[in-house]
Amino acid sequence: MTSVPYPDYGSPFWASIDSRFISRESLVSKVHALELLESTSPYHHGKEPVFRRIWRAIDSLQAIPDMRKEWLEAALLVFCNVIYLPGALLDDAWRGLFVEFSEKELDWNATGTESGRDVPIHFFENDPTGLTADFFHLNKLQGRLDNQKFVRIEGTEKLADTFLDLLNPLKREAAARLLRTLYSKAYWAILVDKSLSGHSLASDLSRLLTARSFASAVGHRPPKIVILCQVLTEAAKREVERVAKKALNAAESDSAMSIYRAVYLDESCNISSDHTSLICDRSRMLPHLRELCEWFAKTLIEPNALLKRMREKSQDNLEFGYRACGLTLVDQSNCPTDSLPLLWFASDVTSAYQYTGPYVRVHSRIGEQSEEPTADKWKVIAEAPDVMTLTGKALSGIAP
Amino acid sequence: MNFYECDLVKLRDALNDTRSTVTVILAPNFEDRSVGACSRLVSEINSIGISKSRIHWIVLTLQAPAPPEILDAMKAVNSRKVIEDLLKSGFENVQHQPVEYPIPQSKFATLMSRLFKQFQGDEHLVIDFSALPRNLLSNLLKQVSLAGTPDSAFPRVKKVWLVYTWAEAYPETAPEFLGEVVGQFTEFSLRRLLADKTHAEVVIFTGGSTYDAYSAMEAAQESRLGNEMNVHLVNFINNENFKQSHLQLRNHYGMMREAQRAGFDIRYVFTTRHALRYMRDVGERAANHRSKGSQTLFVIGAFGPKPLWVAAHFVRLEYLARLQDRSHVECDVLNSKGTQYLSPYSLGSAGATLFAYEPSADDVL
Repeated sequence: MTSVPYPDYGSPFWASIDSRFISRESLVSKVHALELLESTSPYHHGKEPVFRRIWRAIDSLQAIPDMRKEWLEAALLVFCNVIYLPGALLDDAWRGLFVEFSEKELDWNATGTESGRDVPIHFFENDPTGLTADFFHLNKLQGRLDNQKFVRIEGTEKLADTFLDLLNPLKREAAARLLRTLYSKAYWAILVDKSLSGHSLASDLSRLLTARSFASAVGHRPPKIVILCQVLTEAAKREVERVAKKALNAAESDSAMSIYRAVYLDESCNISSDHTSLICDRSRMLPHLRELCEWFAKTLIEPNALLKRMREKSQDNLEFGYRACGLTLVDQSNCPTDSLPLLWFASDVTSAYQYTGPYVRVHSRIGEQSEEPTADKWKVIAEAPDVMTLTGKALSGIAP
Repeated sequence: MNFYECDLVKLRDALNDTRSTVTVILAPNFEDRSVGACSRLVSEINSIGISKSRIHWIVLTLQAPAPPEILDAMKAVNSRKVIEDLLKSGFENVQHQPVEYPIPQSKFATLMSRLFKQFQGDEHLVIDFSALPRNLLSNLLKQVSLAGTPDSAFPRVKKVWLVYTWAEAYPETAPEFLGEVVGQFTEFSLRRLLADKTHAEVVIFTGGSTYDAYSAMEAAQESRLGNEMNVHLVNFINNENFKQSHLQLRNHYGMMREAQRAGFDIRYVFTTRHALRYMRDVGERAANHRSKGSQTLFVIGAFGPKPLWVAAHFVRLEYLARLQDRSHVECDVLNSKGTQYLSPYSLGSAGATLFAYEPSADDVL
């Protein structure tokens, strides 16, 4: 006797899906596009096809008591609405950002002219992870390791160390040499892969604006700060502009700083927002989606000890991702915490309920971490007036 | 020839500096954005205080020889709005010119020469190409390049400013594109353009319709050039409108899958400046192949958005300017033959893109 085939799709949820829902929300093209983009640049977490991972996540949600059909529908909607950024797109983002910056600010508009040019820029990285090497290679910029031209200060923590070295007579001359090279550059570029909540970028920007102000205070021409960001959200842009507004007066704002972004995600990319463009039937689906996210945070995120620090920093239970960003963003290397935990969370064996999201994340920070070493160093710098005086002395050897 | 993208402030500075008259060509149609450039330009002109009598406005209204329909009503409203706004703003030299469209190229050239001749001595010509059909823009640019030669009655201009207003969004009912994709300048199909070549660089921007881009890709796939053909499928991810770009990317998944199977290069650009650079870089590569003796074709399918087509137009010119022997067709810009509108095509009016073109005597348009 023939048995009923396809047991994977035998649950009441799969049988209940209305084709009008699938059509209205364009789920077919959304999943196909995801599969295509992942095939050009696979997500790091294994080779299982995307829809199989979606099925698995839905299946594990179905196994949890009290799960509602409407919530499963909302989960399916979230999974199909992932904005997936393949590696080729991110590489081209670095190229596009440099074209915009170099043509608008450096007036480099001829093709193939990068090689051999003197690059009047120092590159910092927001949360240093080796972005500078990629940026140089992709834009055919020469001489990254020439330490006479590009000092090895890749982030604001190293910069803080260099300023603090000025206070140490044994390290002073070496630090002064580094600062002279750094301040001789007309531009300080901050390379940013993703600024989603804007928190980390705003901190780095604030520190660089402080360092920049040392130059102005000692009569040296201050470098212009240029943010080159692969992915920027509207919330992050607001945060960055708030910091800039606080540190700069309106007249100097344009000459002191500019922001270039390749992918810009406005509020419509926040799937939990009233203004989201990711959901067609908002009046029906948004309440279900929000209930699901809140239930998910309460049931699976809150009991997870590894996410305690992240929850504290976010000042919520990560219902809608870190600092309620509500994103569905994933790139080939990871799924950011600013995206909904439904996408990236994976329970451990001790959890009461088992769940594996379709884009399991590799966390950079886990567990307790009460110290903020970089912030502490900048606090010391702000409270030590000698730093500015010594920076002034260091810069006296170079033309203003 | 010099062609580049710049900010509106450059146009304002140029108008501020000039002592001669300036002609502005507008062509409002049924799209909201087709009136955007007018208000933007009026505001720039007001901000610098240039004498309004030195600005000549030519407002073209293209009209098909058919009974009016709803899109014509929307177009009439926009034409009225543009002219009313100009008159209310105190401009005296405003000329409205209805144009029966389609129009033979020679007739359009004669018409524009006649209109433009009245303002002889202009240094600057501003063209709002947001709603101007590509063939008419191409014709206008040709007249500009031929100006001062026996082949043209067009007066010489120092600089042409090409303004484009982006739409805020696009309706769900997109227009349908009809007919075969052909070279704008040769009117040859891509298959024919590829036929006698030993190397080809084919750039296909996916920003317009799937139909156009897919047709071009399919024609390229049929070529027997194998490794001697590089096909670049370039997705325009507008850094001002990710929502629209993401939607298009999604709608192109079938084509992207084919491109991936065929081993074509799938790339992304984020601004018109980036797209222009990309095309110039590919042009550089094509020129290198040509210098090694290959019969090289460099072709760009810049189906959309329109500023990419304008940029492609000038990249072609730059490429041709480098060639000594132009005995066979080596470069073209692909275009679709016809469109069937099912909606007002675009919604709302957003930011602007501006290109500057400084013609020189040896431009080959």
